[in-house]
Amino acid sequence: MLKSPLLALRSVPVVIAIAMSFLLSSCGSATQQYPAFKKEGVYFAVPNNWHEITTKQLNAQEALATDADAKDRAAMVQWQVAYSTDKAITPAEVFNLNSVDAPVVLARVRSLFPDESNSVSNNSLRNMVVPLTTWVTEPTATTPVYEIFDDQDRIEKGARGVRTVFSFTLHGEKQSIDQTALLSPDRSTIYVLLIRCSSLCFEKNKAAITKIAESFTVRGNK
Amino acid sequence: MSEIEQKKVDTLDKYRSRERDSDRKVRVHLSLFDRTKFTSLFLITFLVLVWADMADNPILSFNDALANTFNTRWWLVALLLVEVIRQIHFALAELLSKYHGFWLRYFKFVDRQVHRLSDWTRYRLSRVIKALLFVALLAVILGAVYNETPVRALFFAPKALWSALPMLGQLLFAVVFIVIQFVAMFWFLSRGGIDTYFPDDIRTRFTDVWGQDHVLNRIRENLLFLERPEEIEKHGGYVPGGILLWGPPGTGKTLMAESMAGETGKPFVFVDPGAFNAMFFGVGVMKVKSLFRKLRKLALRYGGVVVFFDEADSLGNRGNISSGGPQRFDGKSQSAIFGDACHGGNYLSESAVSILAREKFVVGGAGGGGGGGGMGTLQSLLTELSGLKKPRGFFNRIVRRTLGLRPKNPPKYRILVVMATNMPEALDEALLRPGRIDRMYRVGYPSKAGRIRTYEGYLAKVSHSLTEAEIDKLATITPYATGATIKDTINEALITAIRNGRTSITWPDVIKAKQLKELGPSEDVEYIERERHAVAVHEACHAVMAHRVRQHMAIDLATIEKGSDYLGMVASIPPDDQFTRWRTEYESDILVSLASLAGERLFFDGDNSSGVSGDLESATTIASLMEGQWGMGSTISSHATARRFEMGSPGGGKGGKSKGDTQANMRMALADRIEQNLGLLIVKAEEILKKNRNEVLALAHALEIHKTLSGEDVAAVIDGTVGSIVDGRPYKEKALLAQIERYHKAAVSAHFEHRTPDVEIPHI
Repeated sequence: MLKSPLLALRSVPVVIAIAMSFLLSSCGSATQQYPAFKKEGVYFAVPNNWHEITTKQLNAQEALATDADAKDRAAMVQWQVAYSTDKAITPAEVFNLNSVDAPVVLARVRSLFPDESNSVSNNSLRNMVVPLTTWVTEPTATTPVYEIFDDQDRIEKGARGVRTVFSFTLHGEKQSIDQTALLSPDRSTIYVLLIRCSSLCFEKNKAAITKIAESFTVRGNK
Repeated sequence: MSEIEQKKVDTLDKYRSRERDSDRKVRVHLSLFDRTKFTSLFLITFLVLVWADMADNPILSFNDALANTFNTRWWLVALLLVEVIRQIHFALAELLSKYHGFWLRYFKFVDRQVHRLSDWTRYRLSRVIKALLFVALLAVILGAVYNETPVRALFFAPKALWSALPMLGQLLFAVVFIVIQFVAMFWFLSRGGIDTYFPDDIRTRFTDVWGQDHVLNRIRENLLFLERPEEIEKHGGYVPGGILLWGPPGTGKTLMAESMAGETGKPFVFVDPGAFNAMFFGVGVMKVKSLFRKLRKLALRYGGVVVFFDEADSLGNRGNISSGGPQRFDGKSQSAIFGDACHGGNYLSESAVSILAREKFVVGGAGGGGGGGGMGTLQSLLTELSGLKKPRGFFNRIVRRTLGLRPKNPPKYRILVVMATNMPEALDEALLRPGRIDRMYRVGYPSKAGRIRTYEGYLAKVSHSLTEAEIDKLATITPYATGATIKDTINEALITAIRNGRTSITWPDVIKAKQLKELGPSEDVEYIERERHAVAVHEACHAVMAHRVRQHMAIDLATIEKGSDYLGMVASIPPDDQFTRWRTEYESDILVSLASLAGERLFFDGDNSSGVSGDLESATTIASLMEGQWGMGSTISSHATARRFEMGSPGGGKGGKSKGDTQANMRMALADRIEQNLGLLIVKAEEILKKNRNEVLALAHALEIHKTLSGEDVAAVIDGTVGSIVDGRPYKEKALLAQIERYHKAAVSAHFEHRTPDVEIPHI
C-alpha cells in the first residue's frame, strides 16, 4: 500500500518538535554549582553567583604557615575548596577568624593522625574552629560572648557528626558560623563544611547559607 | 466477466512496477522508523548521560543535570541538530523534485571526483580512515568512562583491562572453554592448501613450456587482459575470468600454470587439489569463502590476481542429474555418437542431440557426485565465481547508507581463475559455463614440432651426439610423447649411457631407453630353440603382413624378448596425425591380427598355438564394430542403437529375439556375418603370407639373431636393404634362404616331436 506523501511527512514535525523541546529545555546553564570530592563522596551546592577560591589557592595559603607540624597537617588535607559572594575574599581571609562582610564557605576533607583518630569525639568536632565546648562547660573571664543557635546530630550515609550554628564576638566584632563537622565510620577522616560571616551578613543570607549547609552530603569512601 | 474478475484486472492495471532510482523525480519516502531512529538514538544517549550525571552526584537536580550535560556534551547536541537538519533535507527532497535533482547531481559529481582515484588508492585510503575512525570512537567512549581527555583515556584502557582480567577470565572461562575448542579446530582445519606466490617468486617463464604454443598463446592473451584490463574494459568488454586446461596427464598443464605465475606481475594463488577436503560440514565452504576474500583483497591491492586450481576434478560435481546437457559424457559410458572418432552429433539439431544424450545418461542419476568438494563446497565455489555482486565493507554498506547515499557497487575484482584437470568430464557443468570458466583449452599431446622442441630442450641439458635428423626421427616415432615422458626417456638414455661407461648419449641409447619405457624391461628368458623359432615366425608373420598391407601405420619395433604379459610383439605407430579411419585401414588391421593364426597354420602344418588369442580378440572386436556400428559391413543400422532400444539387429543380433527364427535369418545373424567376414580375411591373409614365405622366414631368422628389431630394420630385412643395425641384403641370397628353410623344417619337426632341432640356426 502506498502512503500519501503528506501522511508520511507528518512525522517530520513531530520528530523536530521532540528534539527541539529537549534542546531548548536544557539549554542555559545550571542554577547552582556543584563542587564535589568524588573520592570521599563529598558533595554540596552553592549558588551560581558565588566565586570559587580553588583548592590550589587554599593549599598555597596553608603552605605559607611556618610552625613545626604545619607541613604534616597540610599533607593530611585531602581536599578543600571555598566560595564566597565577594570576589575580593582572599585565601588568607578564608582561614583566619576575622569577621568578614561577605559569606564564606569552606569545605574540607582531612585525614586524621592516629592520636587524633583515637581521641576524636562529637565535642572535639564542635571545637573545630573555636573551643566551643570549653566555653560552655568551663567558662572563664576570657571566654568571649557567644550564642549557640542550633546544635544537632547530623547522620550522613558515609559519616556522622554534628552541625552547630553559633555566633561569637572577637575583637569587638560579632560573627556567626554554620559549622558541620563529620567523622568517617572508621574514624580516619573528617569532613568539614564551614560557613561564616558577620552576624549581620549571616542574618541577611540565612536562607542561602542554610541551603548550602543542608546540601552538604557525604557518601564516604567507596 | 464477473465483477470480481473485473476488479482484479483493474488492480493489475494499476499496478506499477517499482520505479528505478533514475526514474524517480523525488526521493523515496522514508519509513517512520528511518525518520526517527537517529534522533531517538541521540536523545536516548543524551538522557542516559543526564542520568549518569545524576547518579554521579546525589544532590544534583534534574534540571541542573540537564543543563550540565548540555554544556559538556555539546557534540551530541550538535549531532542531534545535524540529524534534524538531515531530516528536513530529506523531507524537502521528498516533496520538491528540483531540490532532489540538485542534490542528486551534486552527489553524482562527488562520486565522480572520488572515483578519479584508482580503486587501489581508495581501498588503502578507506582502510586508513576506517582505522582512525575506530580509534577516535574508542577514545571518546573511553574518555567518557574515565573522565579523562579521550587521548589520555586511550592509554588507560589497557591498564584497566589488565586489572579486570582475572575477573573477566573467570566469567568467560566456561564460555571460552567450550567455544575455543571449536574455534581453534575450525581455524586450524580451514588453514592450508592455499599458497600465494608473488611476482619474482617463480623463475619459470613461457619460454620454458615447449610444444604447446597454441594454448600458450591463448593463455598469454588472457594474462595480457589481466595486466592491462583497460584495453578491453574501455570498449565495454570484461576481462575473461576463467580458463580450463584439460588434457592427458603429463602434457604440461601445471608447468603452464607455473609459467603463468612466473610471467605475470600479479600475485599467483595456488590451490592444492585437496584444499577443500574437510572433516566437518561447512569447513570446505569456509575455506572457499576465505580463499575468495583473500583473492578480492589481493585483486584490489595489486590490480589483479591469478588463482590456479590444480586437479580441478577433485572439486567434484553434483552428479549427472544436474547436468542433462549433451556435452557431458563420462568415460565408462561414452557413446560413439559423441566420441571424436567421427563427426559426432554435430550435424544433428540440438534437440535430437539432447534426446540421444538424455537417453544415455539420465539413468546414471546422481551416482557420480561427491568428489573432494562435497558438502556445499562446490556450490559455494560456484557462487563465489559468479554470484550476486553485493556491496562489501562496513563503510560502504552502513556508513554510506546512513548518510543517505546508495552503497557503491563493488569494484571490478580482476580474478583470473585457471583450472587444470585430466578428467574434464568429472567437472560440474555449472562450473564450466561462460562467466565462470570462459575458455576451455585442450592441452593435448604436443605436435611433432613441439616434440622436437621438447627433445631439443631436454637434450640441451645433457651431452649427446644426436643429429637433427635423428631428433626428427625420434619425434616421429614417439607420437604420444608428452613433456614428462620425453624428459623421462632422455634421462633413461643417460642412465643407459652411464651404465655403459659413457657420459654422452648416442642414438642407440635413446632407442633402447624408448623401448625400455614402452615395453618395460625384458624378462631375460631364454626360449628353447623350437619355441624361439615359433615365436619368431609368429611375430614375423605380423610384421610382414603389416609391412605389406598396412599403409596407415608404420612398424615401430618387433621383438621376441619375453615381457611381463607377452612373448613377443610388433608395435606400430601412426606416421602422421590422422583423425579419420577407413574401412580399408580396419581391414588391414584385421589382416595384421589374423596373420599370426594364418601364419602358424601355414608354417606349422596346420598347427597353431594359443598365443593367437589376443590377436583373434582384437580382430573380432574390429570386425564386430565394422559390421555392427561403423557401417562397414553388409547392413546399415547401428547395433549400438539397436541394443539400446532392445529391438534387435537386422537378422537378429546379440540380445535380439532370434531363437525361433528361420534358418535363413539365423545365417544372417550379426555374429555369423562377423565370422563370415573374418573367414574371408583369413583366407586373404594366408594368400599374402604364402607369397611372402621367404620374407617371413628371413625376418624370423633376424628376430632369432637380434631378438629386437626397430621398424627400420624390419623393413631392411623384408626389402633386402641396409637398416640401422641389420644389413638385409644377405636375406635375398638364395643360399642363405635355403639354409633358413632347412632350419625351419628341422624346427617344425622338432616342434612335433618335442625335441631339439637337429639343424643349427644358420649364421650370416
